Amino acid sequence: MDAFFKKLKNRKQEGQAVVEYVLLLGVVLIMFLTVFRHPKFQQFLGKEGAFFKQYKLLLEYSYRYGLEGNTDPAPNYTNAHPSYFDGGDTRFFSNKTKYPE
Amino acid sequence: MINKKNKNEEGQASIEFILTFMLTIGVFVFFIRLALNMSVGFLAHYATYMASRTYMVMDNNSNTDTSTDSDALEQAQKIFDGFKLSRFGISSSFSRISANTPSDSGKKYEYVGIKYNFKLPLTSFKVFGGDQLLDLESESFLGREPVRVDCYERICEAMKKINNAGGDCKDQTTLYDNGC
Repeated sequence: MDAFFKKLKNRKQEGQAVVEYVLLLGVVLIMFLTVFRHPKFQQFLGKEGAFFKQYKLLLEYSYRYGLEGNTDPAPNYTNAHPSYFDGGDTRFFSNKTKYPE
Repeated sequence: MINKKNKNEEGQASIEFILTFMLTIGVFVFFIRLALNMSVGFLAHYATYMASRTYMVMDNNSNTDTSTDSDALEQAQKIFDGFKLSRFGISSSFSRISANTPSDSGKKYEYVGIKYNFKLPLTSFKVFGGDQLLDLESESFLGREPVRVDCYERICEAMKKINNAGGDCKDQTTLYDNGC
């Protein structure tokens, strides 16, 4: 019996830190995946998340019009266009009537 | 015994470094993608503007102004193609420009010029918004100069009026050339 306890006492302990570290990593990974896969998180930062939808709209609007905004009025060139003509304000430098034919 | 112990501790630092490095690289790549999209977008704006310049002035001396418009669009397309946007990550399926022509009915006449629609990836990561594509629209409305046939028709009309109603634009008439 004494020989058995002596054998146990002499066993190496250096693996303990590694095992604990791997277990801790596992816990951290599970916590991360739990948060990442949560529907609320996915709704905000997922593939089709609200954050990226807004980010996309903001980039598209500012690229097209050179202005800050996120609601594209999709102008059909019959009247207002945020970059060129909006009510009384216009950036066109031209005559107000069509060139006569 | 000491050497073995040291080996295990070295691994811990490496793993922590890799984990934080991935996060840092992720943030970098996100902003690099944003910067690339903006750079390519500016180039597309410039290509559209240059195409619009060509569209504004091109004249093939046709006796119908509408056929001149379609030829002007083709010429503008050649100028646009010279920028080779496909080399900058824009898919070759987005290689065609379109035009608001002066003869388009219903449109406000100032909106004459070139349009270019293309798509770019929003982010570089599939899990973070990577499935979405930016739908970008570049527009340049420089207008379109009256073509020679328009000038001819206007001058002819003026000559008819000067030579009294019923006159002909083949009659001898003195006019100042105001460049139409």
